[in-house]
Amino acid sequence: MMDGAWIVDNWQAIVQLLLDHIQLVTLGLCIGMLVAGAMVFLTLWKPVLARPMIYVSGILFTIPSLALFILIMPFTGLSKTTSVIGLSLYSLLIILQNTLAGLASNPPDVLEEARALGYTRMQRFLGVELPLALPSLLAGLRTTSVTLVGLVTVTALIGQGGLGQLFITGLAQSFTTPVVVSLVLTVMLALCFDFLFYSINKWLVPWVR
Amino acid sequence: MNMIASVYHWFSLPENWLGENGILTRLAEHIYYVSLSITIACAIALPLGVFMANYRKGANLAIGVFNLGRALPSLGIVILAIMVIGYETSTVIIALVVMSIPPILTNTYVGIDQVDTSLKSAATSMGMRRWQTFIQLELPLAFPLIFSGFRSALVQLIATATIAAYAGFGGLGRFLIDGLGRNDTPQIIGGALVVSALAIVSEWLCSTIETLMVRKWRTANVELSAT
Repeated sequence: MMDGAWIVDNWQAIVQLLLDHIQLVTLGLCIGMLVAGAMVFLTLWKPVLARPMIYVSGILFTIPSLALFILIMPFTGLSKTTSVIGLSLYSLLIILQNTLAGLASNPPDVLEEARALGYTRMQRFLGVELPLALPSLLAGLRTTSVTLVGLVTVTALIGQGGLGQLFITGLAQSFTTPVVVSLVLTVMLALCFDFLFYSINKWLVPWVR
Repeated sequence: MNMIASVYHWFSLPENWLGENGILTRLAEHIYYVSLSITIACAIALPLGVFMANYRKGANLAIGVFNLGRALPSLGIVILAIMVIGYETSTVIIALVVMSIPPILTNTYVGIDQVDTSLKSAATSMGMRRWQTFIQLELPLAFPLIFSGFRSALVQLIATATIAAYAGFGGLGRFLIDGLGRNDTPQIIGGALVVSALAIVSEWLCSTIETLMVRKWRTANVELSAT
């Protein structure tokens, strides 16, 4: 089932695909985070917007991955842009939901105290609310990164896909080795991202177990 | 604008709807794959989750399975299943079942495990038997969480069943994969719209069912938080 020689022959290509994969996940995650951040700021300004924004990102999350990528294609073609836009749209819901839930669960007396100390709205948000909601935000990023690692492989069907390319190669050549290699690397990469955010969480908010 | 017109044209042709490879046939195939695999997945994951919660064993296992399940790329699972088991309809069903067990299992476990112990003690002291406590107390309280696991499994299944078309299976994914192969943009977009509609409608149906059930069990006033 496994062919060691193939791995030795192709290790450079495999590493290249792995790097591509990491790049796609990172880009999707960063853009998703920026957009979700902008949305959170919007809710500060107009709290009514929170519900419709969760709703819209929920619908985006419901759309099957391949269909979402394909619906973006007419605008950006079979390019890396298409996969990055799709991946960022997917990451919106989890990040947004977690951040808003974290902000909503902040103890009201702490917020009162901040106000009593003369914090402006922005100061209170940056100095009190955001640090308190950090564990929840990081949990969202953690879940999202793991999900994105799996989703990137789907973009192999539209010509991108990092390690997902190996699935296509394997199926085309009826050869299991690339498929297994890709599965193992994808799961390992997901675990790495999981561990990365776990460590960041521990480092940034040591007071929360 | 031109593209919207051509997609509209694709939808307006009767042979795209009724033919042997029309939307209705593909939709039926898709629903068949999804409903069969979610039924099997529930039949496996629900009793297993209840069992694990009941004996308080394998909490870490339940959470670990969930995380691993999320990390598993669906395309890879489908392709590997074909190569190992062979090219049959049962293969895609097996792959889909494997993908949908983790969310159902974990949510069942967590849902039942987090039911307040004092409530359970109260039930016991009122003379309720173990199974009565389970049916009348634990299950209604755990229902929202179990159902949300079911929902995420369902949405994921609809997406994965689409991807399974790449490996040569039927379902709505055929429009996407064949369209990509032939560079037939109206067909790809049309197929993508149909499969998105299917996902959104099933999600909406689930949320309606959930609202009705919760209202029926009057659990709305019970505070359920995952933390």
